[in-house]
Amino acid sequence: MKRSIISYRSYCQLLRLWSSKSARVGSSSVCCVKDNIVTSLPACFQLTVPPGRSYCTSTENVDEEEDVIEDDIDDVGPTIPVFQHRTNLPAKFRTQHDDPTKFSLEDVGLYYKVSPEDYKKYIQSGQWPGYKKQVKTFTEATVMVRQPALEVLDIIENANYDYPPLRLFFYGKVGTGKSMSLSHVVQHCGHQGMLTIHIPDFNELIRHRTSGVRPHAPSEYTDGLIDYTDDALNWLQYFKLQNEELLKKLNIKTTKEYVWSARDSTPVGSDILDLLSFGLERKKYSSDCIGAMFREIKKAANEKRVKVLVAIDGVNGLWKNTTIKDSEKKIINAQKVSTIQHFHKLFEHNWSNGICVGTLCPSVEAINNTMYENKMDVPYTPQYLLKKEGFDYMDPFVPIIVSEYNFKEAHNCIDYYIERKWIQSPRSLTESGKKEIMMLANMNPLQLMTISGRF
Amino acid sequence: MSFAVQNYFRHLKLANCSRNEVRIISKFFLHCSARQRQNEGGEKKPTVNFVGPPDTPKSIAKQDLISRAMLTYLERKQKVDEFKQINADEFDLGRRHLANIMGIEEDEMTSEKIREALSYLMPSSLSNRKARPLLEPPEYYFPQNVGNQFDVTGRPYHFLYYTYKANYYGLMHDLALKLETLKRLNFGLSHTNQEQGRTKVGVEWISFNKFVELFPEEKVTEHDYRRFLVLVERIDDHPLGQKYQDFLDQYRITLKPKSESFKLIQPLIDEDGREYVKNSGKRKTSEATVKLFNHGHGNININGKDITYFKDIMHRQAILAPLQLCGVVDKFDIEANVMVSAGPSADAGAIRIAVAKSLACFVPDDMKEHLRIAGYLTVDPRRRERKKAGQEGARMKFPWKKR
Repeated sequence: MKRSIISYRSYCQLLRLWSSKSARVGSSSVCCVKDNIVTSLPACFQLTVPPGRSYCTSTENVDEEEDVIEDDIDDVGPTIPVFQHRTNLPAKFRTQHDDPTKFSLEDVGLYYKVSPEDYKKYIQSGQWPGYKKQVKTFTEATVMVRQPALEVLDIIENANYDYPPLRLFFYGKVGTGKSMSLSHVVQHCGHQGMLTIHIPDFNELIRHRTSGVRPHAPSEYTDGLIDYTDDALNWLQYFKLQNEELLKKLNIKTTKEYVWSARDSTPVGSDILDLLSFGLERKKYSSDCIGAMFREIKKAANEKRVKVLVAIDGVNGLWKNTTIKDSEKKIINAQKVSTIQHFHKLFEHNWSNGICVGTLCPSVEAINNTMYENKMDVPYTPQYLLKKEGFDYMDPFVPIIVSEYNFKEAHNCIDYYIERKWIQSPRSLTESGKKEIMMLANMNPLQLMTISGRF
Repeated sequence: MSFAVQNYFRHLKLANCSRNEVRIISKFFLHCSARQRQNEGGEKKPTVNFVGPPDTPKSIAKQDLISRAMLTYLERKQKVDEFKQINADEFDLGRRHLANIMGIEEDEMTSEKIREALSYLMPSSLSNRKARPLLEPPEYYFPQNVGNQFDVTGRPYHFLYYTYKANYYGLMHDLALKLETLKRLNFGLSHTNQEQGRTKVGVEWISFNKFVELFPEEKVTEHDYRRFLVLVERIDDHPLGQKYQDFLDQYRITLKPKSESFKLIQPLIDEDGREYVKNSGKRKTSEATVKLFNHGHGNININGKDITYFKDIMHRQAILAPLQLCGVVDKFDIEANVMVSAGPSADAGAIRIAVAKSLACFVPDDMKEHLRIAGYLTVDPRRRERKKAGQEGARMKFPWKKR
C-alpha cells in the first residue's frame, strides 16, 4: 500500500512536469511498484517536449500570411480600433497518416481518421450518444491523439509481460475524453495483434432499463450468483466481432471438458470458437461460456501464445449496486452477478502476458445514487471512486489523469468543427470568437462540443 | 370708455382724432376719475364745461393724484403687512415660550434648536414631513410679494401687464421678433449657405420645471412651454440661427456624460507585482467581491472553482460579457468571491457588475461610456415579489374549482 502511494506521487510529479509547457523532461526514470516486482519504465519517458510551443494555425511564417482586418464599427461599437486576426491558410489539425499505432508526441492534439470497419469494431459501441451523432453528421469518424492515451500505449509497449498484468487507469472529470482515450488504446492494441477483452460501457450493465428489469437468471454453475442472459450474449457477439480473425489464427484448444447439461458438453481439445458459438446459440449458458473462455485465454496467455488486453470503461462499476432484486427484495450487488464476476477475476495476479486498462468514471458513480443531482458534481479522484474495497483490490495501479484540452488542442478542435461546418457564425470564425467558445466551455471537450453547436 | 367720460368729451369726434389727442384723452380720463372720486365725497358738485378744453384742477391733494389701482394695491399691502406682523409676533412669542420650557436663553434659540425641541416635546411618527408639527417664521409658509408693478399714475411698468403673464409673453415677443429678422435676412440667399443648421451636440433645452421657475407669480402651463420650444427650435433650425446662439444658450443645459460621474478607483499593486482593482457587486440578495487583475490570461476563479461554478452557459456568458464588449476576454484575470449566494443568476449578476466596475478603471473613456450604455454599470433594482394572501404565489392563483 505504502509503496504504491510513493509511485503514485512520483508519477504525478512527472505529469506536472509534462503539463507545464516549457518544461523539458530529460531521461528521468520512474518505477512502477507492484507486489515485490519493480518494473522500470525509463524508455517510455525519455521524451522531450518542445519548449514553449504555442499554437498557430499556419506553419512557419505567420506574420507574412496574416490578414489584419479592421472592423468597421461606426454606430454601436467602440471607437478605439479593434483588430481581429484571421488566417487564410488551411488550419493544420489532422495527422499525416491514419495508422493508430504510429503516433508520437508531435501528433498530440491532432485528429486522425478512423476507418469505418475500425469504427464499428472498436469505437462505436459504448461511446457517448453525442459522439455517434457527430460521426453521422460529419460523415467521418475522427479521434484526437491525446497525451494520456500515448502514455498508456508507451507503457503497454515497454511493460514486462513475464509478470502479472499491469493495471493502468484513466481518471478525470466528466467529459474530458477518458472513454475516447481508452478506445484509442483498444484500437491500437487490436492492430498490434493483441486479443482485446473490452467492455465499452459499464453503465449499460448496471443501469435500469426503461423496458423493465435487466433480463437475468440464477446461475447454474455456482449457487447464489445471478447470470445476465441478454447482456452476456451481446457481449459475446461484440467479442466475436473484435477477435474472430485472431482466434482463427491462434487455434486455441480447450484443456478441460465443460459439461453444461446432461445432453450438452464441450469435450477436451475442441476449438475455442466452438465454445464461443455455443454461447451464442444457447443464451442460458452464455454467461458461463464467458467464464470458460477466459479460463482458456488465460492459459494461452500464460503459454505466451497471445498477448491480452483487458479494457473496461468504468472499472469502479464492479462494486456498484445493480437494479435487480432477489427473492427477499434486496438489491443485488454487481459482485453477485456471475457475468461481471468473470471480468472481475481478470484483474487477479494469477496470470501473465496481459495488461489491464480501465477508466474510473464519475458518471458510473452517479448511477443509482441519490447523493448527486448532477454527474458533474461527483469527485473524480481514484480513491473516492473505487472506495476502500475497490482500492484495496486494485492496488497497485498507475493512475493517469485525463485533463481538459490545452490551448492548442482546443484550437484544433474548433478548427475541425469549422471545417466540418459545425461552427458557422461569422463571429466565431474570428480569433476572439474562438476564445469566447473556449472560455465558455472551459476547454472541456464534451462541453466544447455541445456549446459549439450554438455558434 | 365709461358713460361719464363719453358725456365729458361729447364735443370731440373720437373717430377722426389723431394719436396725440387719444393720448391726451386717456390722461384726462385718469385725472378725471381722480376728481370724480373727490366729488363723490359730497364736497363739490362738478362744474362741467362743455365747450372748449376741460379745466385743469388746481388744488388736488397728492393723495388724490394716486390712481385707484395704486390705492387698492396699497390697501392690500397694508393688510398683508399687518397680518405678517401678527404672525411674526406670534412666532416670536412661541419661540420665547419654547426657550422657557427647554431652559435655554432666548437668544440661543435658533431655528435648529427649535426643531430639536419640537421633535423632543411632540414626537411624531407621521411619515410625511409636512404633516409633522412645525414652528417657523411666517416667511417660511407665506409667499413673498413681488411688489409694486405700477407707477404713480397707476400705469403698469410692463407693456404686457394685462396678459397676466407679462414676462412670459415678453420673452415670446422677443423670440418672434428674432425669427422675423432672420427670415428677412435669409431672403434671397443661395441654398448652399442654408445647410449650416443646428450644430450643437450634447445640449438640451431647459426642462418645464426650470422654465416655470424663470417666471415667478405667473401661471405658465405646459402648453405655453411647448409653444416656447416650437419657437426656439425654429430659430435654432434656421440657417442663420447661429446669430442668436448666445441668446438661446440661456435656455440650454449642456449634458455631461454620465460615466464621468462614476467613481474610479486607482489600481493597486499585488504582492506579486500585479495591477488589480477590487470592487463589489450586488444582485437580488447575493453579494460578490471581485479582484480584476490586469495583464492576465483569462483565468477565472470563483469561490475556488473555475468557470464551472456556473453550470448554465447563460451565466458564464454573463460574467464574460463586459470583458467581451471591450475585446479583452483573455487579458484579465478574475478572482471572485461570492459571499452571499442567492442562486446562480443572482451570483452571475453580482459578479458581472463588479467586473464591469473594475474594468472601467482600466479602459479608456469611450469604452467606459459604452459599458454604461450597455447597462453593465447600472445596478439591477429588481427584487423578489412577495407572496399574496389568497394566492398561490406572487401572481399565480390557486386552481379554479367549480365546487
